[in-house]
Amino acid sequence: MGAKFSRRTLLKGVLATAASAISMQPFKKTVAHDFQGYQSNRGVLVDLSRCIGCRSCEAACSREHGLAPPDEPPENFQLLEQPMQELRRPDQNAFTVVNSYESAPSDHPLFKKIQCNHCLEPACLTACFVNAYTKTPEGAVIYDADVCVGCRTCMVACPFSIPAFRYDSAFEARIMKCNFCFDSRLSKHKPPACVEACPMEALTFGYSNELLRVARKRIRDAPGKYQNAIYGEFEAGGTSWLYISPVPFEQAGFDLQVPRQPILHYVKDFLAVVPMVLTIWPGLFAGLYLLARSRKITDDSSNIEDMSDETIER
Amino acid sequence: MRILLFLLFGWASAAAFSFAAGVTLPSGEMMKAPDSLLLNSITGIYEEVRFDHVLHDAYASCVECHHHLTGKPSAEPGCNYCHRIGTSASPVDCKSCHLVDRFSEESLSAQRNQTSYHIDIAGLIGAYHLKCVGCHLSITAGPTGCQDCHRKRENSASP
Repeated sequence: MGAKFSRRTLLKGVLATAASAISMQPFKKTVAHDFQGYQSNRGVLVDLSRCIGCRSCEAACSREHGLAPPDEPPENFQLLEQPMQELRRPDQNAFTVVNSYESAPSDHPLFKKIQCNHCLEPACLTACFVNAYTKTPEGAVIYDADVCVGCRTCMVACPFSIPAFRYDSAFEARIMKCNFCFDSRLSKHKPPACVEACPMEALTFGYSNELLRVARKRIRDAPGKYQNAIYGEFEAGGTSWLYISPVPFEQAGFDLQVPRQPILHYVKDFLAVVPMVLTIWPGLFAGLYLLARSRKITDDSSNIEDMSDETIER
Repeated sequence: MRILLFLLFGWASAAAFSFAAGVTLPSGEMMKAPDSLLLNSITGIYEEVRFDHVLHDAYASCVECHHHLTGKPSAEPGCNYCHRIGTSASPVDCKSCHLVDRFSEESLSAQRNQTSYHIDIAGLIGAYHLKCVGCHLSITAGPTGCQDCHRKRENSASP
């Protein structure tokens, strides 16, 4: 009879092989380089103390992207007297929306424009498995509908709930979101349409690192006017669009639960394991299976020989 | 006769206001402030705006709009650390500092100037609106609606 091949030795073998496979391979812990964003990253500083809720930005955006114009045309600051009741989100018909919030210190509501924040390390981009998203050196996070498979993982991944899906078109279903006017403007070093349309210059266009200086200067020059913080400086690893506010950010509807690290950092360790699982495990386990099977066959055949010997003796 | 007197008095008071609003140039020459101005550097969907300078002279002091340019200390105490000399500058008009094209290379490079204090100068549109609407809202007087100041051009798209 050949070597005894028990369940225990099989398990031992599997464990030993797996351990050696892990220790043998040149598996360096993947510490992502500390990406501080492109130096050429453009952004926009939104000064909430300046916005008067005229929604010219919404109208300019719709016109630039050929979307349906906003329901209520921006005329004569009517919204100053009639604050919006419900909070809106960017959707397939509007890449940017202005919401109003009750604010005590001012005689009119506080208005906040929201759109894609164009993160320095976008969660949507890292979540997309077909690379439909691109972070351009100019700062825009752009989306390619041609490669998108419509999984909508980016909508789940985005910490600001910005990407919207065009559900009502079966043939042109795609993600709809602000692209920083990349094709028509930003790639030609021009500011996005909303910034150009803002009559109060509540939106300031520039290089991200310069905008941080501008924001700090505004906070310093007018003591007590602003909260001493810039929303977007660190949120989700930093965003291209930055906000300064006269009221605490939570009162203006900002999500302060957004982590300060890029969303990628929370899944990086797991994602590093995925290629290993996909490439090594099939070979490893298939080999082990074949090994175990071949030994079993030899065991069985030796048993048959033994039995035949016995019958002959009989 | 009474009407004539009234008109004469009205003219005299307007003239007094307009003479009160004047700037002494560094050369010692007295420059008279205009009674009204036509703001027409930027016209798109709206027509030019007529600005009643005399009227505003009655409501606000020069420095509230012209900062330190008219030879008097600025309304913002912080500005007077540097601009305390008190001589008037020869250009007192807004667009000499607040550029018409705020996205021009000149404008954006001012933002990037590492040695400049003024990295955050509003463009002309922003300077007007921030000053005008800001003041009108705070004193709850004066127009705040778009078409209270701007007359819309014929055949122009909605803003």
